[in-house]
Amino acid sequence: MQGTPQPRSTGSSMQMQRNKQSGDDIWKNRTDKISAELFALTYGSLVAQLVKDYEEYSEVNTQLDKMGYNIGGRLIEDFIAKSGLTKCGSFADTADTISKVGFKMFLGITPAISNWSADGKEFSLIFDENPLTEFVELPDEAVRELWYSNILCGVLRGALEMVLLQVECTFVSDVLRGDDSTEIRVKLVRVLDEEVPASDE
Amino acid sequence: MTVHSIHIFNKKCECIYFTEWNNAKADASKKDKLLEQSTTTAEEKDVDGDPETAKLVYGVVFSLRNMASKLRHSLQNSNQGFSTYKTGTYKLHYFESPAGPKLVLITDPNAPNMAETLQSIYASVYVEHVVKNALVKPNTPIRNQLFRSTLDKYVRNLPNFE
Repeated sequence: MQGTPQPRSTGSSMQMQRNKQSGDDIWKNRTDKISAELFALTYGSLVAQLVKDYEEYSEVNTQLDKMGYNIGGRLIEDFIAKSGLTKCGSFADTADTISKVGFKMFLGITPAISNWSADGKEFSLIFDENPLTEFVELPDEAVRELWYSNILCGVLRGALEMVLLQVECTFVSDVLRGDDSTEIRVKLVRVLDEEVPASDE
Repeated sequence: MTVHSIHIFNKKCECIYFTEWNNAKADASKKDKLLEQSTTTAEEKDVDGDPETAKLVYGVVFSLRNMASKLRHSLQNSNQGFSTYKTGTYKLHYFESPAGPKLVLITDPNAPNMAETLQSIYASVYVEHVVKNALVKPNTPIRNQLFRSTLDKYVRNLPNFE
């Protein structure tokens, strides 16, 4: 994995191995499973209903992102409860944890991390499989504008905001649109500060 | 060992849940600030916390946590910072989830280390009943009856609870 030089490079590669193991372990033993078809079909009918309600594909993208944001805010607590992990040491650690533990735990997939930017604040997640899009083919007018799995961007944004990382998350390419790969770009905007209790003046 | 009380604070520093057990003053005053009926026995008093006390408790843990992290001067994980303190009359246990909520448990001074208990209260009671409930807005005070009774059962089943 290309990365910016980090002060604890051996520490973080050990962390990567631990992430992979704990992700696999949690996926196998500690999560309830549902049928993948049910999941894909439910999501598909959700998107179809949104398209009918909003008619504009860009608006549908925004709604999916909003829904994902709410999901992400709750999902992160479940993630912490199941994995028992604590704060990551660096943004690269965060990326690795998202991919190997987070995605693995909830969707059973491990997207690859690549395309780190020079300042280490942006990276891409490359998906070689996507359980949301099992039976999906986009109609012609949707192909140009709709990001079908945009809920994932919202989930990442919502979850990371709860751990005080403000990120922007967008799709770059999607196999449903005819591109070669499905890629999400994650960009760290800033690290948020903890809330301080209001003083009693 | 007795558990005296528990506070839960959200990430906005507000107390969203408070319960006491075995409080000798329980029958002295019945200030019921809740909208619904509280299902209490004589020992348990459920109000949303005297807000002043809650603020004081939060202030104490917040300052201790910051002080501990400043004194450490290293890049270690933050969960190795402040976790409990003990005085002559009580022991306070603190658990902080990286996503925001903070749990504070007050017991008698002879209690063993409750860190795992707090972790499992968080994981199996709070996350299950509050976080996963899609109809509840996050960061609001917890009014969930199921949460309250699960938490109560859990604490009463702790090995040394009296």
